[in-house]
Amino acid sequence: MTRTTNRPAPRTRTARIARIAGLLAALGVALTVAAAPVLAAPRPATQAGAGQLAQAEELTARHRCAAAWRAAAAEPTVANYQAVGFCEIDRRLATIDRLGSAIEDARALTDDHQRALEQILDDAATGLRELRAEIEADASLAELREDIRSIFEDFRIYVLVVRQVWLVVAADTVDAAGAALGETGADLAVLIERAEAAGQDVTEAVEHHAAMEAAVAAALAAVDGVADDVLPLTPADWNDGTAGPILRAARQAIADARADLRTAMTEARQVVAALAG
Amino acid sequence: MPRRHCRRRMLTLAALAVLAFTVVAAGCGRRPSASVTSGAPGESPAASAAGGPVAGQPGVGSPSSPPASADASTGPTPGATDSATPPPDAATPVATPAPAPFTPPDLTAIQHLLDELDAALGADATAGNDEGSVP
Repeated sequence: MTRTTNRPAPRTRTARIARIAGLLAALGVALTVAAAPVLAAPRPATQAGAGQLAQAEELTARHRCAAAWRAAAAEPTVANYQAVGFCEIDRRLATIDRLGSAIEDARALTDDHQRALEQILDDAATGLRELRAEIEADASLAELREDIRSIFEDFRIYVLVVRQVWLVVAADTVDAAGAALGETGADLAVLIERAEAAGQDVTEAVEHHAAMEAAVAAALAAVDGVADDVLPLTPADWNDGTAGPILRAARQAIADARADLRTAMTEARQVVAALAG
Repeated sequence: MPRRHCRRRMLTLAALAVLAFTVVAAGCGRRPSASVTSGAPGESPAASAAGGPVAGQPGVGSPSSPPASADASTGPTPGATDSATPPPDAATPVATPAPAPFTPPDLTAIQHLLDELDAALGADATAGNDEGSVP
C-alpha cells in the first residue's frame, strides 16, 4: 500500500544542532564586525590609570620603609638600619624604573630630551646601587647613618629627578599639542576661505580663529626654554635652594600653557560651529 | 549523506566564526595605549590627525572646474571647458560642480595630548611627597 500523505521529516537532534550552529556562526560574524573597531579604539584613560597605579605603589613602598624606620628606632642595630637603607634605595630604584617606562611611552618627548632624562636616571640608578653596596658593607651605625643620609641628599629622587622627568614631558607635550593646533588652525583657515567664497558670513569664524591662534602662540611662548632650565638641575642645586624656584616657575609656565591650549581647543570648536551654522 | 555534509559544514562555520572573534578580541586587546612611539612633535599623530579636512578633500590649489573631455571627436560634453571644442550651446545645461562637503578637523589626537599633559602635571604635583627625610 502506498503512502498518500506527505508528513514532514521528524526533527532529529543533529538537525537541531546544525540549526544552532548556523545561528552561532551568524552571531559570531556579527559580533566580530561590530566589536573590532570598539576594541581597537585607543584608550585615553590608560595613562591616567597608570599614574594612579604608580602613586599607589609609591605609597605602599613608603609605608614599608616607614615600618623599617620604626623598627630601627625601636632597636637601633646595624641590621635594622641596613634594612632601612635597602628599603629606601630599593623604592627609589623602582621609581627610576617606572620613570624609564614613562619616558619611553611619552609620545611627545623629543629625542634630545629623552636622552638627557635617560642619562639622569642612569646616573642616579648607578649611584644608588653603589651606595647600596656600601651600606651592605657598613659595620657601624655611624657609617650607616651617613650613608642613609646620602640616599636623600645626594640623589633627591622625588623632589628633583621625578619632577624633572614630568616637567620636561609636560613641556614637550605642550609643544606637540601647540604644533598640532597650529596645523588645525591652517586647515580651518582654508575652510573659512571656502565658506567666504561660497558667500557665507565668516565674521564670527574669523574672530574665533584669531583667538585660537593667539592662544596657541601664548602656550608655545610660555614653555619656551622650560626644559633647558629644568634638565641641568642637580641634587646640589636642590640642597642650596636654587632648584626649587626654577621648578616652581617651570610648573607655573606649563600650567599657564595648558590653560591657553584649552582656550585654543574651545576656539577651534567655535570656528567649526560658526562655519557649520 | 549530503545532509551529514551540510551539518558538518555548519558546525565548522560556527567554530571558525567564534575563533575569528577570539583572535580579533585578543589582537585588539594587546594594542598599546600609545599608538605612535615617535618623540618628535612634528611626527606626532596629532599632526596627521589634525589634518582632518585635507583627507579626502581636494587640495587648496586644485581647480574647481570640471575636467575637459579627452576625446574632441565626440563633441562637447556638458560642462566641458576644453578650448579645442566649440563653446556649449546656451540651451545646453552646464553642470556646476557640487560644493565640497564641510568636514571639520578631528581634534581627538590633540585632546589625547592634553590628557597626557594633565597626567604629567598631576604626577609632578605629588612627586615631592615621596621624598621623606632622615629623622
